[in-house]
Amino acid sequence: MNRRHLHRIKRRDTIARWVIKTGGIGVIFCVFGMLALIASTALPLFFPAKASPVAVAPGAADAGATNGTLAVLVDDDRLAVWSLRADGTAELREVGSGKLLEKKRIRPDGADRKIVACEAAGAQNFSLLWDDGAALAVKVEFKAATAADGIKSVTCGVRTLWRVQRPEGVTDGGINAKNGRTEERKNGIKDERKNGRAEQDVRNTPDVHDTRNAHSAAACQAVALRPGDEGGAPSTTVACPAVALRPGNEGGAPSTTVACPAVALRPGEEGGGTQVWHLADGNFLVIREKTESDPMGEEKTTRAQFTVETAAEVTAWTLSRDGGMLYAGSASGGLMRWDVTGGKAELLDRTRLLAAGRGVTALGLVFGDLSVAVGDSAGGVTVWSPASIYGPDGAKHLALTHTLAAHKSPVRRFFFTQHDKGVLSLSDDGVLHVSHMTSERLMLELAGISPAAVPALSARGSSLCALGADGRTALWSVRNPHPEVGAKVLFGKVWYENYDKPELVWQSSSSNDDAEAKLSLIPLLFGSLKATFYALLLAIPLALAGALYTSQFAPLEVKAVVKPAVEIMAAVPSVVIGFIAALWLAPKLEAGILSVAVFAVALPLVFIVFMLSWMRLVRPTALGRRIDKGWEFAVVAPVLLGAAALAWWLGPLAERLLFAGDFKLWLFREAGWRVDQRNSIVIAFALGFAVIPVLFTIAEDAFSNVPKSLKAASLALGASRWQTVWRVVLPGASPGVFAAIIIGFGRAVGETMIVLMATGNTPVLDWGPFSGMRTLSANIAVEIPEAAAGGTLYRVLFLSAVLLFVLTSVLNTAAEVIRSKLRKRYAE
Amino acid sequence: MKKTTNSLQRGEPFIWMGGAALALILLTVILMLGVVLANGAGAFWPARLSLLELKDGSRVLGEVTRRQAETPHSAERLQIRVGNRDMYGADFRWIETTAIKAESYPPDAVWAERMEHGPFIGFVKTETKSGAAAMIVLADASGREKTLTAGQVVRLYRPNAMSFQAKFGLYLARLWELLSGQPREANTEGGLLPAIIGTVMMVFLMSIFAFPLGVMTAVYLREYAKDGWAVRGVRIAVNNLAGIPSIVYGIFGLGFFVYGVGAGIDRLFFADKLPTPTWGTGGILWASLTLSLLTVPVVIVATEEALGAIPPGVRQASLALGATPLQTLTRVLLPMASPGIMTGFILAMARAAGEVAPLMLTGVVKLAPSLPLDGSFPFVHLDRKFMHLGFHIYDVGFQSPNVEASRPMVFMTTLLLLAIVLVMSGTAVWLRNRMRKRYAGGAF
Repeated sequence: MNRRHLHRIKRRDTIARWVIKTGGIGVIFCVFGMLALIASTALPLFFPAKASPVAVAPGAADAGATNGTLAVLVDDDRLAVWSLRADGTAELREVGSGKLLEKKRIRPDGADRKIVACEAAGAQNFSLLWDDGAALAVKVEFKAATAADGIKSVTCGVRTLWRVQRPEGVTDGGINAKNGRTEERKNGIKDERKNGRAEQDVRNTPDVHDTRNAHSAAACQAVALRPGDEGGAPSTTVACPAVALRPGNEGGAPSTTVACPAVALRPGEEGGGTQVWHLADGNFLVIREKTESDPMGEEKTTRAQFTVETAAEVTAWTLSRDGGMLYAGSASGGLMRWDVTGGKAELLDRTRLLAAGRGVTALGLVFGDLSVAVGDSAGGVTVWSPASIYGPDGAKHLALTHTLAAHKSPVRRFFFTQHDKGVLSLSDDGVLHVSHMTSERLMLELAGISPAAVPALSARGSSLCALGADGRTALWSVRNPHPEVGAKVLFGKVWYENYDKPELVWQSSSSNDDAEAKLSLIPLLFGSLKATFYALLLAIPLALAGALYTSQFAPLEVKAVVKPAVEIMAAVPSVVIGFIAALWLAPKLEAGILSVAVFAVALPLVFIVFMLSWMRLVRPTALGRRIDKGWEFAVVAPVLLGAAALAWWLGPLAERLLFAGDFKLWLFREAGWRVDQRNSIVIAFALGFAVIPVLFTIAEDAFSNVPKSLKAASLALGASRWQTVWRVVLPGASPGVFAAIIIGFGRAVGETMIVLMATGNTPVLDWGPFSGMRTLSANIAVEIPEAAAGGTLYRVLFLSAVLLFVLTSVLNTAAEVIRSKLRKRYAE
Repeated sequence: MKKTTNSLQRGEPFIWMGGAALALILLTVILMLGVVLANGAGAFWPARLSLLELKDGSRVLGEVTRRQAETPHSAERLQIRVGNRDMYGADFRWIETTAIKAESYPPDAVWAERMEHGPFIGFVKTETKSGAAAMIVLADASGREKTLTAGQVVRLYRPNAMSFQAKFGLYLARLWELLSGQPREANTEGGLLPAIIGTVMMVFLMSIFAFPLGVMTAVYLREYAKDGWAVRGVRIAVNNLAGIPSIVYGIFGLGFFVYGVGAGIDRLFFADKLPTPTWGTGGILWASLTLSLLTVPVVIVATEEALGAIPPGVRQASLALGATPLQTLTRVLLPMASPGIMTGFILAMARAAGEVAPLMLTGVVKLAPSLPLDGSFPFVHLDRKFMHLGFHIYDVGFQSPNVEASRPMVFMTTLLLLAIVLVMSGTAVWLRNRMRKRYAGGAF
């Protein structure tokens, strides 16, 4: 053999060695890689939000503080920033260059009129109160356009939805006798507000000119012009509406028209709407107009006007977007809620913040208009929702459902995301918190914001703009993809809207958009454990006893049949087991549920009777002695079948005699248990069937590995077969048996198809044997088709996969360690 | 000394309890196989058609599918498959036995399998046979007529007049249609060919990836690695791979192969087709790769066992003759271990054929518009979605709009899948037992 040939052989050998080594160790990386990938997909759920500042204009300051900026807005693509000034003008500036794109007056008719109060109603709607008593409901709309060359541009339109005039007779601190009466009028003409015009024929309202040439306006919750400041110069400050803003306090300048510090307008969809005027005496004046078309096409307008007595010093208030609910908070920490949909105000709640000595400084309604966010003078932020706290049938009262991260100084104002339950709060010291109501997580904290103007979040929540402390408009791009999930949501009780107490719920999707996603993993974990518990309840005794018998008592020819049979059992695809369980076993069990119960009772009885008669009658005979060693199972099988047949026959009889012919009805009446068709008993059989081979094989292995010498010694000392097994084999094999149970547990927890098909997949927290469950694994299979890649649900499902991975890994590793110890013990 | 004759003290009843447990396990296995066999094998046997004359004067023709009492001791009800879904709106009808006046089995009653709307059960009125435009007029038990063209009828037969041989022939014909035909009526009738091709191809692809890795790892563990942290690590890893729930593999396949690798390929090579994904969506390649990870431990364990069963003397002899470790491996050890390795392969394939949960996330569909294997270049389309027998069971049995009518089909599919898996596993077990015997003596 020449040297080159030898050299080649050696080189090949070295290469092969390295390839095999890499491949072998590669398996470790496979496992870690899998875990790393799943975990890295799930991890962003717990990241905080990110905000990166974007410069609106380089160079010179745009001097927002000195020109009285009331509110700012930004579009989703951060192309332009819109701002509203107290002098009634609105301007649009390009982001980046700072170029002024547009500057317009909101009111074409009031050239020298000023805005004295500005209230934000949801996304980009504002109610503006002017110093001549006019009030406008305006909506700001960004229109993005993409030019042929791909450059995006944005224009901004301000639509006046509704215009009203301060009601007649509303003077400083009171209203005249006309209030509180309802009248109806026929209108006849078509309401054109739907077309973007504001031609509402409202009494006391001056004719409104065509407002199609939209003006600009912006908003804040409560802006008040301080009258008497150096001759009405355009210096405005923003304050809570009722804080010390008593018109006339400082000499009544510029005029008596500032009889109410703020107004909230909610135009209705059909026409009319709700006006709420906050009067100087602390009460509210509510005017509701409703226009309805009758079948003849005639329009009928209903008008109601009434006062809401507050009997408290109102320091913050807000009105729901449909104009039906009025909320107010007082300086002494009181929180009130009125239903104003009827002809009068109905006080629904008069409650108190929990901590004493705190006054309400800000109020706002979380998206969906069900929960109210309350900011107090100590900086606390709480969320209150209506709930039946005094029993399921009682009226709903405001209850403290969430406590969000507190500020260090009084909360000045709230604003909200418009697609989920995000709560943004701004405090007096200029700190902005981006929190989420459901998860109670503080996602982001930004400092250095002037509390003077209303900040805003763009429609999709991707941009945030505010008036900076330096008086310039500040802009951030925000990434806040998963605010609704946190450890508390996933594993703790959460008080959801429309629930009467904190609960553990999994309900990933709902019928309407503004409902919270309920993503508690506890019901699913519970379901997994419940299914596993019932399966193991059946599988452990059967598999262990069967394995013990096979390894210790059965003759070789029996083993030669039993072991392949168990392997066949292990090979049955789980989809087949699930299918049989759901479509064959479940209906049969449902029909004969009592027969199963009878069988559970009859089996031991029949077995005892059989044992006694066998021992006394058959065993002493020659036939008995021949049969019994190792073939007991074959003898006992017909007995089991007999017991089953007996139970099948007795079940209906017992049902008729004991339970008036309907066991399920009896069970529901007596125990309150509903019998689902796909229940835990079905799972016990189906999942048990899947787990038995695993348990059986490993346990049989452990029993067989106990050295023969130990058994021989025991038998030689005079112990019986059973005594030897019970006292010698079982203790020796116990670690292996334990490992078998652990591995069986892991297998049952992770099984998917069987539970997917045979459980009904309802995520309930109920240990009862007659109800179903939804397991972690089945949940993944059920929900992943609906989960958008990268979305919250998608990541939560990955998180549940991580849970399953870690759980089974820990169990399997533990079992492997135990088994290898056992192997070493008997290796000598 | 007192003689312990008390059988309770000697523990005899406990042994009997062990025997009872074993008997229960074996009985459950037999019961399960029996249920599948009884429901599946009989599904295609042409059933007798009963003509029931009811007391209200109406006549019902159909196959009696179930007799059951509402409450255990009340009168029986019959579930009858009356067919004619397009005329009656439902395939099945329940009739109280007390409402029946007479039952007969008319020999001229026909069962017509149609392309649409399930079977027509009734009588032939007129038949015109004129080539392609053959028409047939059928009438149901109450005389309502229905005209069908030859193209609409799959098969027409008179079960009450058929001999055993004829029935057997029909049974075989239907069985052949199942194996070679395309599905009809939202998978509830017709054949399983796309699902069979999908399953076979997926298992084949899985084997290409899983077998080399599995054998390599086992060889490393048995022949190359020295006992140490690496071996322990690999063993724990293999154990974990074997124990991780299959749905976790599915979600890994979705996150890594589909949205990771697949979307990456799309961005690099198929950017013009975006946002319609080419590889960044479920497909047979991703499903196979996912399943190959799942089945690797099976191959590893079997190969390790096979290598371990070879007596050390063989290795030493080969090395002593001057062979390198690689030569020893390829020329002595692997050939000797080949039955065991084959066992592992078969077991892995059986496991892959029966696994459904990971596929649901990585590319299986209820009805694939085009097969992953067809006549157009490049013949094998690894990016396509596919159908699968196991998923077929889940889909037709649980998502089908007409679960009751599709029962025979699902049981038949179940029987087919079970037969495939059990034959494979059985072969593997038999192979392994034979191999064990070969080295059992260790007489070297």
